[in-house]
Amino acid sequence: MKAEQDALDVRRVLAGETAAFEAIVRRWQGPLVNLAYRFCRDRGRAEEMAQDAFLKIFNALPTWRGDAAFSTWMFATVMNLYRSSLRRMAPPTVPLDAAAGLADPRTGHGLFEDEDRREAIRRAVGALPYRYRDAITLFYFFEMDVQAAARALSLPEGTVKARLHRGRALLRRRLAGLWAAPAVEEA
Amino acid sequence: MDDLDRILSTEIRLTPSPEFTITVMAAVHRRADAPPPLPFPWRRGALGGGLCLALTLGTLLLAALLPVVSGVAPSGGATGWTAGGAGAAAALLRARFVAWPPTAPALLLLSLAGSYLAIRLSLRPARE
Repeated sequence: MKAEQDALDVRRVLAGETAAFEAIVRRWQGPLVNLAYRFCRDRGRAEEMAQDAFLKIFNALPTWRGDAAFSTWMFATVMNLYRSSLRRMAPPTVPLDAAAGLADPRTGHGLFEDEDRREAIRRAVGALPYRYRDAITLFYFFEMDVQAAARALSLPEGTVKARLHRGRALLRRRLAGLWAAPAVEEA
Repeated sequence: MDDLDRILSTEIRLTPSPEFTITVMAAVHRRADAPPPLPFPWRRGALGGGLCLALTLGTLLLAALLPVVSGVAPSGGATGWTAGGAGAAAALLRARFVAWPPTAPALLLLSLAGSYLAIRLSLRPARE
């Protein structure tokens, strides 16, 4: 249903009815802003990135051939844009003492409050090499759907699985202190 | 599902600000109303590229031929030909451009004229 509405709106936009693009924006603004936020962790910046993404999609609409779903093509286009704009941003940094605290279970008696733990994991994901960070972020964004993440990254599923595996191994190594603490309660 | 999965799966859900759609659509309308970008001048580019290539190849050819007629006197008088017709042409050029006293100013003027012409030609599509 959503795919049909997208295709219909795209046809109207390509026929010269620019206002029809608003339906696409309303339908996809949530996912695009949230995806951007997962990468940059800044609400204002996420909205700017999503706005740029919509402009890019609008310009690139004539190149959508319709052989894949509009959302598949859109996420692949958006990911290229997000990745290039994130590479221009300074990489996230973690203060040395905080990083040492994460790795050492004795620090702070090895206890992490739930929100601290979440924040530490998010920062650690943001500090991963790009290929692992992108795979992990998209995998969880698409509710652990490897196929959807692979399509958005324009990569084979096997490559995404390998990157997920390596990325998670890196995360576990970097966050060794967290896993020594008592298990986090269900959110 | 382990702790890592659980934490990374439970992200906060942002709701875009109410003016987000309005801002995006304003930018989209501006983009749609803007005149289409100038197409790249492939014909002129190909013509210029071809000319540059011909000049480069011609210069290289001359550079390759000139040492062959090193026995030719600067005045142009042949003292010992080692090349045929091409050698004679190179000798003539050498006599003209190397031995001729005002060569440097002439070449400078020629370069300036060439640059001026190139700038005029490149500005033309912008005015059209």
